[in-house]
Formats: sequence, structure tokens, C-alpha cells
Amino acid sequence: MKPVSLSMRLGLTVSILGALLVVFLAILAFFALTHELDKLAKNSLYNKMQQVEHSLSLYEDTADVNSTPHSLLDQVMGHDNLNLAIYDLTNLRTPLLKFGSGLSDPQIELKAATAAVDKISYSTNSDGEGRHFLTASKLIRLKNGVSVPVLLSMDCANDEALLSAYLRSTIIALPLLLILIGISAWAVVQRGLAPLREFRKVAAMISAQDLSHRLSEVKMPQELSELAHGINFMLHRLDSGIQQLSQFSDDLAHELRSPITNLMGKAQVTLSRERPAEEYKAVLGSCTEELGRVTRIVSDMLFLAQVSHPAALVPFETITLEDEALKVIDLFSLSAEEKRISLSVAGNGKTIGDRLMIQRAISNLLSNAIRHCPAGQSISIVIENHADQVSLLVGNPGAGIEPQHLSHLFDRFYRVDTSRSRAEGGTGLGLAIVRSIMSLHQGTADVQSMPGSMTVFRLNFPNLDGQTTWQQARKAQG
Amino acid sequence: MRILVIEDEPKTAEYLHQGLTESGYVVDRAITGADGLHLSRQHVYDLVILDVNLPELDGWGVLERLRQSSNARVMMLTARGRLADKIRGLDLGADDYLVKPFEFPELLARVRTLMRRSEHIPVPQVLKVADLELDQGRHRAFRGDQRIDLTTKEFALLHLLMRHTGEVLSRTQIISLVWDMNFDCDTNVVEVSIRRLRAKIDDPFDNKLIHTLRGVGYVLEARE
Repeated sequence: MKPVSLSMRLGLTVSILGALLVVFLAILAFFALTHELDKLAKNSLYNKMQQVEHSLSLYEDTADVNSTPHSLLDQVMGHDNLNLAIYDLTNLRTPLLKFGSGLSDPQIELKAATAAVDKISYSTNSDGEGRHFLTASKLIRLKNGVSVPVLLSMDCANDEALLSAYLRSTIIALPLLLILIGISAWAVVQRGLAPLREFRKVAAMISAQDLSHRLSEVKMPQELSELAHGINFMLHRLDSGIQQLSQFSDDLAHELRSPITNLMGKAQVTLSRERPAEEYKAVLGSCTEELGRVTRIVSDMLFLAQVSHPAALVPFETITLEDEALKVIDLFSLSAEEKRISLSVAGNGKTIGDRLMIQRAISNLLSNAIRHCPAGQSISIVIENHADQVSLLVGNPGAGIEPQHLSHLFDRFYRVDTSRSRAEGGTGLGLAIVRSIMSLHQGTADVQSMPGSMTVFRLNFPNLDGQTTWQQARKAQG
Repeated sequence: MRILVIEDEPKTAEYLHQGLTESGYVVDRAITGADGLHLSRQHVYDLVILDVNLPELDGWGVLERLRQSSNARVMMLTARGRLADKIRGLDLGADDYLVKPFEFPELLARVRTLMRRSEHIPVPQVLKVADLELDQGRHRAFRGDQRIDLTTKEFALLHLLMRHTGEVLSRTQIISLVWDMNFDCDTNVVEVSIRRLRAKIDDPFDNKLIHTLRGVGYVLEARE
């Protein structure tokens, strides 16, 4: 089934609901009107009956009623829809007094009237011509104590006319009203959904090349403005992601271009004329060194890709951070000794992770620290246990890092001092690798630096205790 | 010792051929998996070096069929270093698994290890190259009559070089075997260690034993 347009659906729904409501109200109004009219009629009959009763109470006997009916007739005179009939209990066939043309056969009412003394009873009935009457009947005492049944009936033609007029006008107005409701509902929905067209317009303009378009949130209704905000936020992240990606491939090409250009140039210069074997050997050696750099960049890139999107779950084991730090220190102790730098480890902590990767992260930090530590000073690795995490800090004195670089340090190929670190053989990926390793371990890496004094890199691992209790909790839950 | 290299990339095949031939092996080359299988049925090879990315029949397919008829050792070469790939290769019956880019000395070392696996040559207690002697049991080194004091790491490094005398060991291999760090670390520890070791066993003597092959690695051997 083809989905109907939202505005059509909403319009139809509102119309149907409106129609139901209007019909319901019309029916309710009809019944209320009928009821009210009935009540009004009964009321006026009741009042009139009171007056008749009052007048009758002044009559001596039934003969009196027959001879001087004027004061009674005065009561009903001027009301052309009122009929009055007074009977004699001894002769219910012919009335003592009759006014008006209604009710040719009042037997039922008479029975009701004679049945109950001092009580007014109502009934509706119709005559042969289809006219409806409301009749009040009551047994009324005369002065001499004789009771006469009195029938006071009212022709309901006026009320019926009113009701039918109401019905007629309702039936004519209803469809028009419904159409009006439908159209306005459709129009309102159309107007309300107008921002969706803006969404579509912006979506059509967006492509991988151009993610700069944004939805204007100001003009939108609140619900849509939240959606627009969400979409804008998503676009913003996509945009920065894509920019980072293109910046990254840019950087990568640049990083690889210079060693490759060097290799090419060197080989071309060497080949341009005959040389002694020793010279070829030297050139090949230097080329191999340069290629080693390229290989390292490629390996680091591969490693990064692998860590960022691990194909299989890396098997984690319990790692004693102190042991790993000592192993890495063992590796770097000679290089440090050459610069008369002393290395130390303090504290201990455990986490779970991949041994090789954690060693690599520590090694990358330590090699940076040694590179930037002035000769004769000391580098300390401190392991701290906190409630929620285990941190490994690598701190070295030195020139420090300017604050504006800090947030970019973990970016790929980001270098504070471009020429120097490249000459020292770094690939520019060390800290990016550290960050990726840490995120694989559900941890974080950060840095604090005070220019001129200390730089401290910190690896934050999730606490092992927290991990185990979490696992136990999961096990307990089944 | 006969080796079959199944590799479709001509440059790689060429240097593998050259390098292995110069290391004393008889090397045959095949460009496609089908050729490789065909060759492996005609000759007996001690080792098959097999690239995973081959046209038509890929390395996995070759390995599977090879295993049906041959017991030759197989070393897989691949650009994909994913753990799942490694496990798959080893499950299918590969003996070793090397991820590109690799260094040639490492390949050569692994080839030697694979070849040796069946022979079980015990490492002798006392290693001797020219007049350099290393007594592993007593943790002592001698150059001629002169005793040389070595630190633990220097001893381990010298032991490694002497055990593999005549073989070029790359920086990565040395770090992996002496310091037990199996990743590419940014450190000059090998250079420093070699320099210190040289100062003790080579510098005071005329006959130099440790040689640097620029861009490749280090080798300990007696050169006349």
C-alpha cells in the first residue's frame, strides 16, 4: 500500500474526528433541546393547571362549572395551543367543559387522572391528523368536595417545528462545516510541515564535497527545531570528520612524498654517471635507511587502522603496569644513559589489556620524553590507583609544550616543531597510536604541560577492580 | 635446500630469489598459484614461500591443495596482518606467517629457523668465533686469553650475534630477541648497545668481528 502524504493523513484524521465531534454535538443538542422543550411544556402546563385548580376551587359544584365557565376559559384563552377539558366523574363520556379542538379520545388520560388524587400526571399522544399533544391530567376538588378530572393538553406543533428547523439547518450546515474543518486542517498541517521542505532542500544540497549547509533552527516549531538541531550537529560532526580525513590523507601524501622524492633524487643522481662500488654501496645504504622510514610510516598507519577498527576481538589479559613500565625502561635505559637521564618507576597498578599494545604506548611516551628531556635530568613514570581508573604518568622536565598545541598533540602527523622531530626520525604517528591504543582499552590519554618546567603524559586505564565487579555483576545477572 | 617462491609481484619475487640464492639455497619461482602447484608436484621442496594475493587461485587455495600432496614447510607472505588471517593461515597448515612490509634479514632468519626445525642442532655451551669465546654456562667471554666483563644485556646481545654468526640480524630482530619487545620502537638502543659491545670486544683488538651493514643490520663474523 502506498503511504498517503502526511498532510493528507493528518487532514483526514482531523476531519473525521471533527465530523464525529460535530455529529455528536448535534445529536446531543437535539436531545437536550427535546428534553428542555418537554420540560418547558410540562412546566407551563403545571402552572396553568395550578391556575385552573385555583379557579375551580371557587366553583360550588359541577353544574356551576357548566353554567359559568368564563373564569376558567379566561385561563386558557389567548393560548391557541392549549386545550382544556373538565369531566364529571359520573359521566366520563362527555366533558362538562371543553375548550380547544385537541384530543378526541381522552380515555387514557382520564384513567390516569382518576387513578391518582391530587397528583398531576403527564402523557403524550397524537390525534388522527398526526398532531402531538402533551396532556396533563389531574383530579381537582370543587368547593362541595366533588372531584372533577381536568385535562389540560398542549399542542406540541410549535416545539416540533422548532426541532425540525434545527434538524434541517444542522443537516445543511454539517457537510459544509465538515468540509471547512477538513480544508483548514489540511491547510494547517501543510503550513506546519512547511519546514520539512527546508529539510529536503538542505539534504539535497549536501554532499561529501559540501557539508557546509545547515538548517535554520530559528523559524521552526519546537519539535522540528530539535530535529534540525540534531541534524545540524550530525552534519557538523560529519563535516569535521571528513575534513580530518582529507587533512589526514593530505598529510600522509606529504609525509610519504618527501622521503620518496629523496630516494628518487638520490638514485637518479647516482645513476647519472659511473661511480666506484663503494659509492654505490653508500647510496644503497642511505636509500635503505630512508626506505626504513617510509616502511615505519606505513607500518604505523597499518597498526593505527588495525587498532581503530579491530577485525577480531583482541584477547585481553591482566597486565601489571609496573612490570611493563620496567620492561620498557630496560629497553630505553641505554639511550637515556647516553643523555645522562635517569629513569624511575613509582607505584603499581593492574589493568586488563593487550600486553604488546600497552608496552607500545608506554614506549612511545618514554621515547618522546627522552627526546625532549634535557641532559642530566630525570624522567619518572608514576602509576596511580584511583577509584575509577589506573593512571600511568610519564613526566619529563624540559621546555614544555605551548598550550595551543596541547589539544592537537594526539592528532596524526601533528608536530609542534616540524623540522626538528622529522629529522630525529619520528613518524608523527606515535601519539596518535597511543590514543588509539587507549581507546581500544576503553581508556584515555591526555597531557599537561607547563612551559619551561614539566610535561606529563597520562594514560588512564579503566580500573581492574571495577572491571571484575562489573563482570561479576553480569555473571550474577545471568 | 630447495625453496619454491610463489609470488606474482615481479620485483618481490626477484629480490627474494636473489637474496635466497645468495644465502645458499636453490630457488625456483612461480608467478601464479597453478604454476606453483604444478612445480611443487614435480620437485621436492624443503620450503614453499607463498604469497596470499595471487591471481586466479589465491594463496589459501594453493595452501589447501599443497597440503594434500606435500609435507613441505610453508611460509605465507601477506599484506594483511590481521589476527584472523594469521589464524586462518596457520589452521590451513602454514608453518610461518610473515606480514608485508617485512625486512629481508627477518625473512632469512625465519627461513633458517624453519629449515632447522627438524634438525635439532643443540646450541653448544661454548660459542667460538675466531678468538672470541662465549661460555654460556659460566656467563663469561674471552678474547684470546683476555677475559671480558659484560653486562647482562651485552652478554645476551653477544650470545645472539655469535649464535647466528655469519647471519645479518636487523635492528627489529635484535630488539625482539634481546629485549623481548615485539614491535617497532623508536629507540637507538641497538646502536648504543652495539657501540658499547664493540668497545669491549673489538676496539682493543685488530681483528674486528662485529660488522655493520648499513640499512640492513649487524653481523658477527671473522673476516680475513
